[in-house]
Amino acid sequence: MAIRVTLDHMLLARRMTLTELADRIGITIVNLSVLKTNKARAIRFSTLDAICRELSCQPGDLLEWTSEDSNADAA
Amino acid sequence: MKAIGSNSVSSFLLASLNAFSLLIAFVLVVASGFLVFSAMAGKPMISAQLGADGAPNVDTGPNVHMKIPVALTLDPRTVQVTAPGLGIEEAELEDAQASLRFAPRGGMFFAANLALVVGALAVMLWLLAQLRGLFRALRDGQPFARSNARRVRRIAWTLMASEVVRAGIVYAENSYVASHFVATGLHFEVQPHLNLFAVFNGLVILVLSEVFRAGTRLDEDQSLTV
Repeated sequence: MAIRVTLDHMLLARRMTLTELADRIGITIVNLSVLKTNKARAIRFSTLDAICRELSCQPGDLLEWTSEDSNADAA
Repeated sequence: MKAIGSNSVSSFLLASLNAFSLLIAFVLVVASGFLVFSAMAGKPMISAQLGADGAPNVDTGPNVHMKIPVALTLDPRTVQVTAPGLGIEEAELEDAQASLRFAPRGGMFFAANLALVVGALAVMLWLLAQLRGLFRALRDGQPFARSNARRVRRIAWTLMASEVVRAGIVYAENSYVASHFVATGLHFEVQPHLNLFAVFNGLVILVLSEVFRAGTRLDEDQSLTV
């Protein structure tokens, strides 16, 4: 998909593990992994709200758009 | 009463379908055994034909009989129907359907009927396998398993195709009787009898398969929404 979730970068910058974030926002680690590995098809506003609150960031910091062509070139 | 899940209507239907599949498989094996035995004995030991409703008639033993569907009109001069109590002096029997039973002399017609019944039983087993797969998924609480929409679509097409084939077979059997048999007091008719209700049912199930497909898509979206 052309929308990439940059949750791994944000976690690295804040030295937080996925498990820790999962505990803090009350979402299972399995679901957060789906989000982190870009397998999610949609994200709820409530999830986005919780992540932004815990990581002190904006929704735009968590999402990144890349064109399909550049993805194909990179591959 | 639960419709899906364990100990539900679906699990009861699955158990019934499993038993019915076993029965059909048993009939298929016994019929094949009789066929081999007939070939060894050099005389027909089994006869099987499809009836007007599409269900097979099977007869086994040393003196087998065929029973094929016929459509007929009765001669009003020989058969008189009245209702004196109602003041009706003349009534006519129309669109009569019956089965013609006779001892076959072998030949192509006999062999073709046997082959048709074996084919019909095989199709029935395949249809039951689709239904069993569907109800197994429902019993396991997975109504929107990806394979379910495909199964329902296959069932719909099979039902519609089976009805067209059944009508064709009955028409061919009617033609065979009309051209080979002679009867007094009645005329054999040859008319196509396509059950439009069965075709309509098939179309309804085909539309429902698309509903299943849409449900599967929504279920996948929902499961990948965080």
